[in-house]
Amino acid sequence: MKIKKFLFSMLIVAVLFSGTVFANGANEAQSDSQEPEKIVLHMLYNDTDEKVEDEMDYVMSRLPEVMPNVEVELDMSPGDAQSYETKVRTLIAAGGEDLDVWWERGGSWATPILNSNSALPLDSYLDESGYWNDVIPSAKLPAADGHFYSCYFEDISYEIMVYNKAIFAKYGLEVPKTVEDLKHIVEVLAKTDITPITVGAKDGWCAAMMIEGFAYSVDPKITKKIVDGEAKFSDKPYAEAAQVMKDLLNMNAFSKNIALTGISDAIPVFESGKAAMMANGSWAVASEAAKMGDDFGYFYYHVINSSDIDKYGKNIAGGVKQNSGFMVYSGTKHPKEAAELAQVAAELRCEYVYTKLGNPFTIYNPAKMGWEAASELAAPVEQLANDMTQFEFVYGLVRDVMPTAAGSAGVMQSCAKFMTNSSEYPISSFLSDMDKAALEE
Amino acid sequence: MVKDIFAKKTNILLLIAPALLLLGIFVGYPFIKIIIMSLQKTDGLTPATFVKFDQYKKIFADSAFWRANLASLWLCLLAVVFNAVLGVFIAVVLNGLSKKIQKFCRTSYIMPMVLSVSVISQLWLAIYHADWGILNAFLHLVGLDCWQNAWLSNPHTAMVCVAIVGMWWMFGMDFLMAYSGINNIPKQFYEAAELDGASKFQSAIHITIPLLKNVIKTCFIISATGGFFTFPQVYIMTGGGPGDLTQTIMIYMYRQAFSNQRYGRAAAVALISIIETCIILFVLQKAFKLIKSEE
Repeated sequence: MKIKKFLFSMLIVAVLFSGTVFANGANEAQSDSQEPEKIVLHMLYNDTDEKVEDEMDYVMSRLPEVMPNVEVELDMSPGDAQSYETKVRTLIAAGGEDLDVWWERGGSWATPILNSNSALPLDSYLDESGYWNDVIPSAKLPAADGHFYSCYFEDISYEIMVYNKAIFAKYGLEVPKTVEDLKHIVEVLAKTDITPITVGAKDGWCAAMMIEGFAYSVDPKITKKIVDGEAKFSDKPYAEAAQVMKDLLNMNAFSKNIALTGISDAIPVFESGKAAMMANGSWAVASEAAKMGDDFGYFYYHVINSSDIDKYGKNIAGGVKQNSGFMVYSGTKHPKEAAELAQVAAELRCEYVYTKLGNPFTIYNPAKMGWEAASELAAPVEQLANDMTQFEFVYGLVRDVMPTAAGSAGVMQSCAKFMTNSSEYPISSFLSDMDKAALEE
Repeated sequence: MVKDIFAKKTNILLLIAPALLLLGIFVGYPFIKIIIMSLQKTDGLTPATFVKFDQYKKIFADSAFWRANLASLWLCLLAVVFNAVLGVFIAVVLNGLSKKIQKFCRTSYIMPMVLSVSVISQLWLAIYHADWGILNAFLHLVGLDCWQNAWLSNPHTAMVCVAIVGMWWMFGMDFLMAYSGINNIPKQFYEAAELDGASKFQSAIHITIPLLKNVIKTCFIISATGGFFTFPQVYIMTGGGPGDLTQTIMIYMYRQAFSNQRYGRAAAVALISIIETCIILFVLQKAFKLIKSEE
């Protein structure tokens, strides 16, 4: 009898419970049907370090507010640019199913993507949205066919050298403007425990950037001429720059392991005060100024010939990288929304770095956008932001301007090898390899 | 019953069909695809164009390919000598020692093999590092500062250093195979030889080595192909650089595909390296056959 009672009460409980659940389910279904269906877009991003993770956290937190009709599924893909770009190409080659918008690293990486018509031209969308009113004029950098395929968001990059002011003050050193000045500093520092200069030479492009920096003082248009087929790396500017680099190597300006030092190894060496100077890009200015405070400073590449001192800081290699930024897959089911996402994500990323990090090196005009930095810009950051307006000619290898991927790879490999300072790889062989790279199909 | 099943060829074909299918999908198809791709110019996205033997011509005209190929053949030879030959030699010698020593040495030799190649590479990077590496620190400690070196970026030492890592990593494999092979040889053979007055050296030459021949052949094949296809430790430690100083044929192929976006040329390099491997295996087979016929 007791068992019967127990079973009966359990049955009632079960009926009531299922009734409640189904009723709730029906309510939910009813409320779901009232909400407009969200468009799901897939976005791929290269997870290079913690900084970009923070940037994307901000972008993702703001997106629902800016684009309420869109649900973005973000894929943070780790690895270097090469691994990441391989993933992008593989996704496209496989039909681009989970790809609507992605961070294209640009330069020669973008060439096969554009040649295969895998990217959606954004011209009409950008014109309609008023994008060009918000960005600086130099951001208007179309692809070879005249169309715009990306919403640029990376920091505008210039090839500079950063230095530790405290070390310079300790040894009574002044900011060098000529190569002779630099050699004097190296001579002084080489006698101490401090490494005079560090550079991520293993990655190739950092060393290339340094050599190019010196070559610019002889002819600022030399790289452009080489890319256009009007000059060679073995011509005077790069030959003189290579000689400067060789002299620095012979003077022990770098650590012994420099040829195998990547940029991720070089940064902590500089930031910890073990190296006095570092060849880097301007993208590092804001973060390093924040980390090193008053000890942080930067200068431009030194002029090789002292008589050209008036050219110091006028022509700086760098600028905006062509075809980089957020691209939209041409096969996306929602081209309009994807194009909007590309623009919004680019804008939010730049808003984050300006307002939260005090980094003004974005293509957006903060005054027009109504952005305010959380704190005052650090002195070196403000200085560079002002200098940028005075640069006369900007172009450079850092923008991955070589026409082919094989050309870029060839330049990087030759520069990394040159940094071994091996007697078996003299300047003539180095320049000849660079010329070979420039001619790669 | 079983005999009846195997009497019909259709039954045999049906039984091996799943394996054949998998072989066709995962080996046959990619192999044919590589052959076709090696005759094409393709970056993986734009339509491929047939260029006949252009990729091969360009590869053979590239001095970097020959340097990388030579480096790989050299690594192949070193692996045979210092892994296969040395592994068998140490296994034979160790077998004559006490059980305690055998146990200790066996564990020591096998240990690197069970570690991940990433761990191995990081470990050796810490040894070779020019600024704070253990090797340079040791040389400083013993007063040999003049021998200090940028081990991985000096053209004279870079490839040797890379080779040592690979050999140290895979030595345990050859040793283990030879050691297990020796332990499978019946003890009575050695007892009989001892009764006949044979020394340990004579036992090794006349009993161990001949009975271990198939194992030795396997060791040679594994070491030769492993040495020739050296990739992960180089990729992690130097990335094939600085420049092309430590570039092996596998790194060359990888760079063609993923740095230069020349998938056609990378496929051609793959095919060349497959042909080279076949030649190496053929030479080894012939050499072992020759030894057998002489016996």
